[in-house]
Amino acid sequence: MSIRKYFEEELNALKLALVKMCRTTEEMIDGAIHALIMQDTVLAKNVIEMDPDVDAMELDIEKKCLRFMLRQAPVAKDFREVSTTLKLITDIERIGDQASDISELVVHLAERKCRYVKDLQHIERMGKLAVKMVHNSVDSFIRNDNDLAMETARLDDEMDELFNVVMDELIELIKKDSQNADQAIIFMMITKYLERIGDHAVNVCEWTEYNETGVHQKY
Amino acid sequence: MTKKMLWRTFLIALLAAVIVLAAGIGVISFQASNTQKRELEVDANLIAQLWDGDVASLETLRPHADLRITVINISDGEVIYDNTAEVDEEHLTRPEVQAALNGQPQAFVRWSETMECTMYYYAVRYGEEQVLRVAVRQSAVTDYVLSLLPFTVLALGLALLISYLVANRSSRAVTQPVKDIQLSLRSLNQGSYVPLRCDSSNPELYAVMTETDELFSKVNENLKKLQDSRARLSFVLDNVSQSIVAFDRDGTVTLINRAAMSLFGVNSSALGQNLLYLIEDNKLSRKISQVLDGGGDQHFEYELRDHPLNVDLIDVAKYEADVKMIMILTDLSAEKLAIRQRSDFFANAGHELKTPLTSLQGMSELLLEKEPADSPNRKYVERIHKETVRLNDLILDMLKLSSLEQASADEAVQAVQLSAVFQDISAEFAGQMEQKGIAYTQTGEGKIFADPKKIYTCCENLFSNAVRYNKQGGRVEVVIENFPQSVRFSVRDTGIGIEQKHIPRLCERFYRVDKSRSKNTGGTGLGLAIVKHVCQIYDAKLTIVSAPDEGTTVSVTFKK
Repeated sequence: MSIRKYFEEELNALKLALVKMCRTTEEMIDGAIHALIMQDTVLAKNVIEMDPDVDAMELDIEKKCLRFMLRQAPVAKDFREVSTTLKLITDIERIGDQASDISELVVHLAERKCRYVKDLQHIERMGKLAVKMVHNSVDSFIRNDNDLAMETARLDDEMDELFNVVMDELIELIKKDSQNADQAIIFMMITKYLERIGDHAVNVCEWTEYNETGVHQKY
Repeated sequence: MTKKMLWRTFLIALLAAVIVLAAGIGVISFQASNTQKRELEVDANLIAQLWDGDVASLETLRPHADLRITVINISDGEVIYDNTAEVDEEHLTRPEVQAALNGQPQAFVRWSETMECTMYYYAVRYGEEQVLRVAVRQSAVTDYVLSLLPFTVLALGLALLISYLVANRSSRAVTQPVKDIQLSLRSLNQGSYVPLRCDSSNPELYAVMTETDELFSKVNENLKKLQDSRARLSFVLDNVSQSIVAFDRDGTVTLINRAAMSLFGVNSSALGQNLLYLIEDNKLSRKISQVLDGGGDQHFEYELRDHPLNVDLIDVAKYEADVKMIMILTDLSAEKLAIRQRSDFFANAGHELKTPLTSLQGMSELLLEKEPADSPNRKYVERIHKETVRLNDLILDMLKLSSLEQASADEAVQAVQLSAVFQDISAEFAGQMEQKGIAYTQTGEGKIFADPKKIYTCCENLFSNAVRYNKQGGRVEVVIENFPQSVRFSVRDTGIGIEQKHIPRLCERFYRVDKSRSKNTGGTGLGLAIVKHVCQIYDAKLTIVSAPDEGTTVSVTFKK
């Protein structure tokens, strides 16, 4: 095998591991939201159990990246790809943590066996949006698609808007009846986690842009 | 190869020529020196015999000008005469002189300081007093060789030329077939096979070429066949409506048909890529990974981006070496649409029938009120009223069923306390139970997440069956059980029971165990169909255990 081919294969394996990690976190977010809606403690606990997997994947990719840098001493585009991967996994791992945190709150809610004080329409939309953002951001890196990255970063505005809407709703709920406060606070935290996931996805998009252009800038 | 062979032959020819030349020169010079020595001996002896002892007469005895004659006095070694130069040196110690003195005259080769050239010396004793020495220049030997040189160069050149031509020819005779084989091999590789021309004069090479040609033709034929069958296969695969993808052990896509490409929104570049790039849905790709890891075949229904699909993951490692698994996806959209249209029709027809029926029911009630109890027509009106109510029930059940068919598991979900549901239902049926003298018991409790309305409908149907088909003075038992992974409720009656052969068909719409009995007990024939649909929605398991004349137990198991 030629050296370059070996090199490319190592890089491809790295990307594949990244995609796998990303898909797992997507499933975690999706599962967390689904568990919230269905009050499904089993699903929520499944999601929590997936978090160590994501952590292990991060460690594995990190090790692979460092070894690749050490052994192959990549330059230019190759260097950017490896360094970007190294940065991306931190964000993706954080996303996994948030999804796990949401699931813990879901378990907390479901164990009280109570009816939700609020309809979950907006939170569900935020969850779908978060999955889409995470998916598209990593996809844009894998496919070297800068336009997709920019488009995904812009989705964060919608996420922020939804966050504000849900926050207003929750404030209203608490004002109406202080009995709602304990659930409202949990919903608030879930919403905040989802909003943070959106921010992490934007980070991924920024790194994708760096990978393409060599310039790292904050949106 | 040709170059190497040429050089080798050339060098060998050169080496041979040089060896022959050197040997020739050696032999010639050896012979020449021998001849010279012998001549010198003959000359010396001749002169010694002819000489009269007078130094002056020696000049006349010299057979040719090159000969040097020296006369040496034995007693003091003084040179008495030398025809070429004045020599003062003592000459007695010279080897040829010593040899002559010892009586064994011999020729010697030596560098002469006097003449400044290599010379042959030979001496003979002349009388008691003197030694006669004769010498001749050796340069005559090299003259021989020099005179031979043009011929040897010519011969050498000729030899090299011939060796070059021969080498060229013979090397080409070996390399040409190899080159032909190479060209043929290249054409085979590029897919347009040119048959090999077998024309070597060398029998071994000819045999190799014919064998090679045979092999190549066979390979070419098989390649063609393979390509044809592959083309046929892809033609078939591309024109089926199912999406077919094959993966190897690492999860790399080795085959993908057109339907699959359009389903996943990729082009043929997906070939050779990992399944993660093809299938963005993590649950599906994880299931595929399970099969790839040797988890065995899987068949399930799955909704991928709003496409209802039937997924078959088949492990084919035992049939194929490079393909580990094939995935066949069948689009169920059309099927689901047909079911939807059918239930839409049910719903619409039901609604349309309900309006006139409601007025019929109202009118018949009115008639019943107005008709005196002893009127002969009352019987008919009562019959009309009863049938209208039955028809109404039937239509209500049909509507319920069609709404259940369109329902999904996510709708209006909340925690449902099963014990509370059964308490409500038993209260509803209290009148009927009292009429038949049925005792009711309920044990346990459990919580499930579902739409309470659907659960109520399901339980109500089971309960009404338990009451309806019970014997006078029988019993109805409801047991709710909690398991680690599931919640189960069972409705048990002590009724007439059902024969084993009817059980598999019980949940079909309008299926009746006993056609004649239905009219007596009421019911629409849709009850269990409704129960089955609710179970399907929540992925619950429905089991019916029954023995004729002993009773029936219907259990529903919900996953937690």
